[in-house]
Amino acid sequence: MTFEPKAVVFACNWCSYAGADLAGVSRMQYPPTVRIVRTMCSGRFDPEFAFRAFEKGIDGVLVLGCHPGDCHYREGNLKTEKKVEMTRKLLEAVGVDPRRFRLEWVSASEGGRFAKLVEEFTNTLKELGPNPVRR
Amino acid sequence: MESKASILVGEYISRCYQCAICSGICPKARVKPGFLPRRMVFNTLIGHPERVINSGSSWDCLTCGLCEEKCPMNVGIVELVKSARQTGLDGFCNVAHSNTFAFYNIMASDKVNPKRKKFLAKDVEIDDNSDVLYFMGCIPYFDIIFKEDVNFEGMGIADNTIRLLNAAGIRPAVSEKEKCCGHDQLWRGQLNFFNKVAEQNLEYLQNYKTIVTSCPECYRTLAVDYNEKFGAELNVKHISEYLVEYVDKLKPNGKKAKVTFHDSCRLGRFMEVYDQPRELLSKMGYEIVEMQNNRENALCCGVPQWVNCDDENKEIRRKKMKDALETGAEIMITPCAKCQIHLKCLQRDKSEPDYNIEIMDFTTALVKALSR
Ligand code: SF4
Ligand code: SF4
Ligand code: FES
Repeated sequence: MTFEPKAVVFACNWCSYAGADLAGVSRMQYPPTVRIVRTMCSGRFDPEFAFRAFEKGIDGVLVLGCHPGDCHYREGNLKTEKKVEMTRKLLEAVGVDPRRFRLEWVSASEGGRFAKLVEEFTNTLKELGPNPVRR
Repeated sequence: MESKASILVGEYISRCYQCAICSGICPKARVKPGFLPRRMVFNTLIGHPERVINSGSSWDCLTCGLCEEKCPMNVGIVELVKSARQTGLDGFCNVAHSNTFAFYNIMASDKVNPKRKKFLAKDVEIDDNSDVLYFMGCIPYFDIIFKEDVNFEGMGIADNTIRLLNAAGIRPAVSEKEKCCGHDQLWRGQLNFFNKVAEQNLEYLQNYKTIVTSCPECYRTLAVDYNEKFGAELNVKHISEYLVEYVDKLKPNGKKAKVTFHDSCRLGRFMEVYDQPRELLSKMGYEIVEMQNNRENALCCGVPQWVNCDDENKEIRRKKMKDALETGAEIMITPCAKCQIHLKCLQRDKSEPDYNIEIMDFTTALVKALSR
């Protein structure tokens, strides 16, 4: 059986979720890897989200937010950046490949970019194989 | 209600004659009215351990061991607290930074291996074939989380420990298989996690003749809990204990400073290592002034196992700082990375007065005074 990676996406309500929506209504094709969780701002992302997901065996985690300067709450995404940086380092330190965890900016008009990102990320995850924590 | 706690602690506590010295000395009892170690012992004695468990008072305890030190009947109060916590009612357990610390659970899996060597400084010398292992503990993780925010020394502690060993002519091994020792989880009653990491650690720890730790908690856990619980025969030494034997090889560079030494609970009261760090510090040229509460009377840093970082425990940290300030020392030296984080965090708090004293790790202080 070929390996179909599973990933969870945290997308902010104001840009990235709308971007993903646009990809959907424009009928763009992207791999069915991702499960999208909407957050009001990417700043809602908490390291625990990623850690819990990896602990339970997810293959990848993607955090999406508005481009810097565009955050609906002004600087939410800048705080996200800091948290994501720390989360990535911790993941690496405990032995999870940091390529499984990414932060990207997707605006409401970038449906195409969203689809492309998911495809890219899926390919990376396929290369990396299943999350070793998963039994 | 028949409870696990009554079975686990019965033999330790039956000696108690309710003198209440424990309640009198307990630092937590002074900041949290209603928390009384004597009462915990009493309730367990009369067959109501569930009162201890359901009231959550076992979580109020700092597990600092001061009461046990003073108890005339040697009642194992800390052991009582530990087993009450292990009954699984951890709804009262308030762990600071628990969201960030969620990564520990990934570590419990035996499918992932943490990275350690890549975080070390370039100048430290390690040797994979050595029969001396340096058990680093959680320093790399705390480095990532706290270095920037509270000015924590981070990996500097690990580097300095190895530098000291190097100066003594030893190149220790560092294992990439090393997992957290499980100290905090053991004391928070999360035995599942503790057993998992302990089993993984024991697989390689047995291969080394000596294990050196810089963290008092790792020290106590490996030396006592691993050996008792799993029948291992690890030879574990705290860096201060280990270095004392090589003291002639450490040449001071003439640096002078007035310092005070904080006896962390695990190193001091639990493992009774008081003299070695002091001996090393004064050999390296430091003048030691003691705090009012020192050695077996030392005050806890206030937030053991990251449990209950609240206003009450903040008061304990303030008292610790006050103790240190009153000595007039320039530097407070602590052997425990966590004590350093908790105390520096208080120092950084803008709503607090100025605590004008430098807080420094034990190994860093030695390296700073080392002529190289
Ligand atoms: S100090 Fe010891 S003997 Fe006295 S009340 Fe406390 S536990 Fe009992
Ligand atoms: S261990 Fe410390 S905090 Fe707990 S009851 Fe004893 S003196 Fe109080
Ligand atoms: S609202 Fe989109 S990142 Fe803050």
